[in-house]
Amino acid sequence: MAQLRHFEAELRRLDVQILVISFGAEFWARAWLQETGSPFPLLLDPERSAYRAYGLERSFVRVWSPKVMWHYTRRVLAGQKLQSIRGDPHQLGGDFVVDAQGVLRLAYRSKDPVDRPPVAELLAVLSNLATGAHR
Amino acid sequence: MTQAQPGQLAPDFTLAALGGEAVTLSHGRGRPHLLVFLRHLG
Repeated sequence: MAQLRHFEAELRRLDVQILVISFGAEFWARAWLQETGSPFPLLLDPERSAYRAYGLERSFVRVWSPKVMWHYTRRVLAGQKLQSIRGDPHQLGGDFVVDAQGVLRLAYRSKDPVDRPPVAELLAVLSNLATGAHR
Repeated sequence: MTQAQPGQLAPDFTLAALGGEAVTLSHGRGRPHLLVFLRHLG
């Protein structure tokens, strides 16, 4: 999210509507919004109907994998404070680009909790949409 | 379940925005959208 905020001006230039979706409870969603200062609309999906529609999985094995444990260990060793888990830790997220006609142009389903698409990749797809390069 | 793939119509949804109105993805046609599905809020 911090990365996206860094590119907020570029996303605005590309006239991209960003929608952030969470399955979390409203109380935690408000706390998250306050902590992150995210300027983007936050949609609540407690039933996870949109998560299911976009094929986003729950996975115990991938959430507690050695790779993920190592990621968090390094963050702790670097002096970073880890936030407590609020809600189902096994639900995975993802990022999707939808064009102006409603067609899916990029689908990135996280393989584990620390797997997110590079923002540069998202921006490249969105830039191509803006210039019509995908047609 | 068949997963939506690039090139297919994006699954539509209507969800309540925190502190605001319901948002329907298809009502936003005409602008590209980036959908960011979060994992837990920690």
